[in-house]
Amino acid sequence: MDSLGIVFAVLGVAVAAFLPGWGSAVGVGLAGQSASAAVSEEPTLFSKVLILQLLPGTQGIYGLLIAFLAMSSIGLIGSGGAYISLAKGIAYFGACLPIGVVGLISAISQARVSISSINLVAKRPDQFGKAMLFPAMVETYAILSLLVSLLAIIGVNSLQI
Amino acid sequence: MAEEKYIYAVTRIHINEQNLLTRRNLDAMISFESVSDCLSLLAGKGWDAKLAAGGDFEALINMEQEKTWALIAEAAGDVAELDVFRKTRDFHNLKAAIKLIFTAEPEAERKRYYLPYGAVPVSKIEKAAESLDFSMLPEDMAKAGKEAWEVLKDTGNGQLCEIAIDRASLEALAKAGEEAKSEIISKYCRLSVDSANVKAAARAAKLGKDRGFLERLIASGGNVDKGSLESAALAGVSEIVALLRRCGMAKGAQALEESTALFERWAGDEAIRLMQPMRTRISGIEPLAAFILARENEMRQVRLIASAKVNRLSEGVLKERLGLTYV
Repeated sequence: MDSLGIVFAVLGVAVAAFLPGWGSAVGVGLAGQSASAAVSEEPTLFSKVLILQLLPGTQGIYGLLIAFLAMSSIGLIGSGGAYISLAKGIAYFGACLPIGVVGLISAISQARVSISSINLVAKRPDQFGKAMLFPAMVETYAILSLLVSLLAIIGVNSLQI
Repeated sequence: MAEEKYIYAVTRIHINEQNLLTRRNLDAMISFESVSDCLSLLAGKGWDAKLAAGGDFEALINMEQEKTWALIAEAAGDVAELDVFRKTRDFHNLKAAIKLIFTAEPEAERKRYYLPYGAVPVSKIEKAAESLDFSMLPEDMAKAGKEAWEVLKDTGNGQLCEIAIDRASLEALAKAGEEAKSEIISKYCRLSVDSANVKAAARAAKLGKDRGFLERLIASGGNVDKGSLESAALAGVSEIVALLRRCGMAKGAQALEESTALFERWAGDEAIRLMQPMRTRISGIEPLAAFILARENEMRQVRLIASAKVNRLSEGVLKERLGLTYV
């Protein structure tokens, strides 16, 4: 039972790194199909559609950030070795969930909007600014979950449980 | 992730939709005095400039059809679900091949009777007809070929032979619609069967054809029941109009009341309306199907304008027959 705290904490790290990373890989892959189609018809669109393709990739970065912070907090990297109680381990796991779950869902949802925006830019390159805003709206929720996970991990660090 | 299929192909198709002819383009073509102005407009929309300069509309349309199927093949590969748009071509070619058995048409001349871009190679259809071994063709075509050949052999009546193949073609389309995973493609197939059935029934009603003829003529598989349509055709066009109203096709009925040409336009417009929402879809087979239909509609409209220019058809009549555009 003594070691279960660190097990839950590491599970939290895995959730933070794996789920948004998975969503981003799927999202960037889907948007990439649309982007390559746009470039095959109109090569000058490359830089514009590349940005739209990369937007669903940010969730993976947010997940990685939280995973590093959590690993640092539980002592897996840096100055390690501190004891993590079961309650604290579960708390770290819970703190990693927002970015894990929202990161996965928002990356795939954002990819769909990015594909629509790539179609829009391919038809009307002058509308790139507006086309960028639509997938950026989805990003809001990934950022909110990043903030919650970030604050929660900082909060758990200072808990005496 | 099934709904995320064909993303690459759909983006390419959406980009190519920009070159489709708009209503404004068609109106401009109608207003042009000369055919060469029309051809210049088409060249401006990406149609083959060399052929356009040559002034041969049919060669130009054939080239554009080839470009459509080449684009679909390049973007999406060989998609069996899109074969519904090639079925009528296959059956047309089967009809031509059977009829050509009796003619001493030179080899080089035979080509012009066949339509390109069917799902079954013309050479295979020709071989089946020449050897009278239709079993080498897909099942529905083999059955139709055998039936048409027997009718032709027994009666010598070319019209009955044509009717047998046309009916089989529609029934194959209806079957393909039933098997299609896409609801839009299913609806399109049923609408196409209804449209062809109603046009044929109206013509037969005007000619006072008997039930035996109607049974051979009308295909099953549409929204309008075959038996009901046959009975209505026996009673006259007004009864077909009433039947369409009962089947929820009030606007189609209204069009048929005026003329079969207007009914044909209504059916074409319905198909375009069915497909228009696909312009904003980002994946799936439906936007590809919509593009093929849009291109076919465009070819029909260009052909109509070209023939109107040659035959000096009035602008009003032409505009009435053109119908909707996809974009």
